[in-house]
Amino acid sequence: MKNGKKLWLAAGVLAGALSQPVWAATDDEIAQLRQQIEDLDQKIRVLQRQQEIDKENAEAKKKDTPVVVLDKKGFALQSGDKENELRVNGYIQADYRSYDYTPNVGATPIDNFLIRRARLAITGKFGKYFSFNLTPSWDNNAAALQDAYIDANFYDWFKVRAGQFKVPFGLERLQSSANTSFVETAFTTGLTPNYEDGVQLFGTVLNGTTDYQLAVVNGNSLGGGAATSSAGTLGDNNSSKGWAARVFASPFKNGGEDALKGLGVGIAYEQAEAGNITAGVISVTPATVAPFAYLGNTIPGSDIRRWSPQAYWYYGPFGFLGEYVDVKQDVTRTAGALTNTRTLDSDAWQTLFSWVITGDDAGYTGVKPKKPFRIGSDGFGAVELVARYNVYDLDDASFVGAPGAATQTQIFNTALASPAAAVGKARDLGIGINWYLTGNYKIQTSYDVTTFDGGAGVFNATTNTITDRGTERVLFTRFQIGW
Amino acid sequence: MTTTFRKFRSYVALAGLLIAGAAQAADVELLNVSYDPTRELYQDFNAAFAKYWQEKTGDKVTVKQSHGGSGKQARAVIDGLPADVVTLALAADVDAIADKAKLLPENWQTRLPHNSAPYTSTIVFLVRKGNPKGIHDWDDLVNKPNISIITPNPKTSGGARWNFLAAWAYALKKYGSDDKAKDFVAKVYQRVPVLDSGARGSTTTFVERGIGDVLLSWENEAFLALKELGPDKFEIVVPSVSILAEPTVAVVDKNAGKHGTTRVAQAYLEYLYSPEGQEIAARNYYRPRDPKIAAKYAGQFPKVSLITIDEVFGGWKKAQATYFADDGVFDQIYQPGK
Repeated sequence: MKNGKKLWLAAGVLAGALSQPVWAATDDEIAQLRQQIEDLDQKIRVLQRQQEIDKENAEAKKKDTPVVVLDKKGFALQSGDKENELRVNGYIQADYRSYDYTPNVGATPIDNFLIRRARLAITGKFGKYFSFNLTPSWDNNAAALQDAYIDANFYDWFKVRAGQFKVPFGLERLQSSANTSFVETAFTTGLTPNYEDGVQLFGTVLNGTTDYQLAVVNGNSLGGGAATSSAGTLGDNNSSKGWAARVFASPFKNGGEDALKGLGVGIAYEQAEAGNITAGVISVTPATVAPFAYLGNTIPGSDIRRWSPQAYWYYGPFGFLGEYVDVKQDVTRTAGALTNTRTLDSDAWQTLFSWVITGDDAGYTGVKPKKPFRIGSDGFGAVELVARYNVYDLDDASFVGAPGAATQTQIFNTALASPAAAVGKARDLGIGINWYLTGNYKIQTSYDVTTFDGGAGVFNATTNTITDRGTERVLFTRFQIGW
Repeated sequence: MTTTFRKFRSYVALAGLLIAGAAQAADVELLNVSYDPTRELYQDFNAAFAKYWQEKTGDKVTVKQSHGGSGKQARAVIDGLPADVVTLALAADVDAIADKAKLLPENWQTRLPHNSAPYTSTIVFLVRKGNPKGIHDWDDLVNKPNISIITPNPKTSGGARWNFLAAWAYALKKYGSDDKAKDFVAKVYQRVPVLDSGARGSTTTFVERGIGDVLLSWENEAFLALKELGPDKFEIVVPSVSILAEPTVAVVDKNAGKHGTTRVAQAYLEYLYSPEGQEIAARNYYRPRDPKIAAKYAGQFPKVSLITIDEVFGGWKKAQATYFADDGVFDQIYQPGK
């Protein structure tokens, strides 16, 4: 009877188990355990609360602790609450210039290295509203002051700038020199005002799509003049002031077709009284030679007026920049009893195309490579091809003598410009390649061919004619670091 | 076009730019830097004052608030926080602003009634419902076993300083000497597990984090905790002796002058003394100064035997220097970790 034996065995084991004493907790022990649990619970809560308080204190302390930042955007010192900031940025452009032509007039330019620009931008803000920019420079080894202004930023749509700043006018001029597509700018930029001392009202309206600027400045004559001193000497020796207004809109910035988001169009106007000063260089070629000059004792008169429609468009790796600049100026020249006063109307225009062949985005503020160059990785940076065509046209009336000038001598003596020294028209075709190794470092190469019409070449005394100035071919290379 | 006219045209253009900038300053904004538990009070009061001021003058006034431990807030104003008015927990903190930053005159307290204290409060105990630890008076805090006490840090909090002085005053009265009072208060702080920087922080610790058995609290803060979290969770215990706490208010003259807000700032503080201001204080559990309003709300406030800082401690200047300055009595008795 196997099952019976098993049953007896199981009963025996069960009886044995039931005969052992069972442990039972007393009320005191339970109370103690409960107290221990409560004490532990309180300790945990205290630790958690202490952590919260420590975190709050650390956050509060952060607001008072200045922060030092050094990164690819430069060096910055910020207050803990970020209300105050001091930032140091800058860039250095080391160029090599190669001149692939022998001019038919004037000295042969020398291939050379030069420090084209070396600038240090000290910017900062104090509190919610006030900021400044102080940019000294050592361009071409000469010390100067570029930007030196204070901004009061009350609202996005209402800000006031006072000091020295770029006059709000030319599209390429307003682009940072660190971000231009070519090593040297086009003829249009040579016709636009550069830095001036004055005050400017500006802001962004229409949901951030439209920028406007309205500036009152000392006023300057033709050409990008250097800074004016507080006495207003260079380009201005009278109390009348100039003004400039500009509106630039990116209407599809916030919506609409993707292809149109990078479209910007604008228009600018400037009016200034140059006073009794001798005109300077009207414009320069990419070789930075100036075959445009008025004759001696040519005096720019009142009311320089210039206007410029301008546009850019960037879509993915493709970019376009175009602008037209028209300048009217009253100019007078006197020789003996003859006086030649004319309103000269000169203009220039440019079209510039770019293509970032590595697929990175093109832009007005430069190209930021998605895969910066790094040895040993597949990062090569961004490579951009650029091409432009730009034309400058000096008013033909510049070469016309005074009314009543009968002889060739009288014509030459009273004309505002001489065909021996000034060309009537110049055309430049340029191509280039830019390699943005990182967001901070780039290498640019551009090749420009400039042809001339209407003079500034060799004077033939026998035939009494002046040949056209010879074609300029220049190859410029630039190494640039910016931060 | 003559040269003179050209000059004039330029000046007009320049003036237009500047005037356009100035035209934006219309509404008035005040910054009230206050101590920790007054958020609800000033939320109600600011709305009432804005309405009153608009009706009286047509101007729109917006009052921005900053809250924190009273001492911490005073230091912030000294360091540059641009307060137009301060409404702090005690006169010593306003004295510090006058003394260290010279932002208001030393006689500031005489410029408004009741020594610039438009309302008063006191210190009570907030305990868990049913008072499970049987805390009835100051002695219970140190004599009963396993009592955990929540009070803020007197170095930063005004309420904490009133707590400290109330405990000291009790011990001084009961045990008869400063040495024994010091021992007593030292035992209190040995039972404090967490020191928040302000009274509201301590309320959070006790009420929301469930830490501690008793909160030494502003009376108004204790009533607020009951109102917001329900009388079924906590109860107020009134000790046998407490201290008359007089939070003080002042215009910060230099800041208000710079901002052009002196007139509004003065009117703002004066309105605390008006019938409406006093009603708002009472509704927020601050003891009003106005006898009529005080009588109306008498039933709301328990009867407490109150000592004053002047009679026991010789005033705030002396008390601050003796107990709460660096290396003062509090620094001697509170050494965390020991």
